[in-house]
Amino acid sequence: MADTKNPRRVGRCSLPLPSLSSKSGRPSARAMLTAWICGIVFGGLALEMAGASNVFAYDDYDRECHQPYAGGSNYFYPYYTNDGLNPPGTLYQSSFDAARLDWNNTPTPVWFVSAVQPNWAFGAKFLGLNGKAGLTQYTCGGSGGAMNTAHVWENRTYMDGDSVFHKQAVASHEIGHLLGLGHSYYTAIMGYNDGSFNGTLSDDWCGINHIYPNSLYSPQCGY
Amino acid sequence: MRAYWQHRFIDVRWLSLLLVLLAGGLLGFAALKLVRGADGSTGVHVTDSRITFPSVPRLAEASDAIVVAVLKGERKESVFEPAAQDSQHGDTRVDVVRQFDPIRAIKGDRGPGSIEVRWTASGHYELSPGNFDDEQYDPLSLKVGQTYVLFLVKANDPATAPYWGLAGEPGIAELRNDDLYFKTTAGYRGELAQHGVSLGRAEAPAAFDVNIDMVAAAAR
Repeated sequence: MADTKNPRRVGRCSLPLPSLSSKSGRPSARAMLTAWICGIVFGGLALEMAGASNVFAYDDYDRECHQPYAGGSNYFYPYYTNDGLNPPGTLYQSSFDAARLDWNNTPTPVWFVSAVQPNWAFGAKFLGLNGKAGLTQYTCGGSGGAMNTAHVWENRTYMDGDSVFHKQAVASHEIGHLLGLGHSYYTAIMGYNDGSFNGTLSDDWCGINHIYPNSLYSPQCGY
Repeated sequence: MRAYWQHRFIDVRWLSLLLVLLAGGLLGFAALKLVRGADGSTGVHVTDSRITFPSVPRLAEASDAIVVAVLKGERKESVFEPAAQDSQHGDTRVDVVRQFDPIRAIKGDRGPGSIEVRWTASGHYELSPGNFDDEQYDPLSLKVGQTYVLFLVKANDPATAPYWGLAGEPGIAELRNDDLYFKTTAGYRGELAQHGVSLGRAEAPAAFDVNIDMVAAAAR
């Protein structure tokens, strides 16, 4: 039988330290079983902590990666590099420009700063027939875990044949991901879109003002 | 001598305990990795945006072609996509290429003979040199010999010949007694559940519980 008088505990898992061993000094079957279960739990928790995200009306995928760039006390200034060469001579560049301006004009502290940052780009490429209109990739290797690399892609596989109107909708949506928003349950550029609009709506602004609290803008969301 | 071996024996037991703990951790890690899908190999975080349709009329409108066809077989094909600015750092993806024998065209001109339809099963996407993420997509499990209704778009990708692919989700349905039973990915169904949308008789919302005549009417 295992001696369980003084197990050291982490959460509900008893760590298999010597107090769990039998009198003979070797671990008991129970200790082995506990170790196995705890190992599974801790292994799982480690991954959960690495990729955890809370779910709101507007999901926040950006919990472990801090805001891309904060250059002022009242405003939030993410970098903006329109990768017009990728692809060259297409309508994606103007779509991203329009989407960026739309975000700048929202009642939120977001204001994109034009900067030549090779690791910070908006563009379009062929991502394949994966059922996805766009993809946003980023890394959190900056100071204090800040976002230091980000690419916002439209999937040319689907979007090349689509309208400029819809290209801008996808650009606005993916920029929302870049800012830390997930998919909304509501009618919004981050949520349900019947194809009649291609810019941000109030639910999108609420999400931003929730993630980046600012005295000038209140979320004013009733949910 | 006996004490020495007894001591070694105890050490071995403790070592085995440590190994069991590590194995458990790896198993837990692997299990969740399997559930979540493999991404972020180099710490790259990814969010993507699924193309979905709220109803059959909207799906039909977005489709370049709608075809009733029998699945004959499938193969996997690796595709390299050179980067526009730096061909050293292109992307690689694996497509499932499925061959269908059409038996009825409901919308569009899909050309003569059999038709090949692609669905991307995985992608290796470069973010920057040394930074990438590997995405695994649900390949949709289909049965050879089964009749399907395909909602297709035509893609013109310079890395391959022009090809047909599913318009989005839902984009393919089994046809049984003139009724459609849509096949969708676990990710799509998960998003529906998250939004409180329940499924109909198959793997799509009840709005997609239709028959082939209703599809034909929507495509007109």
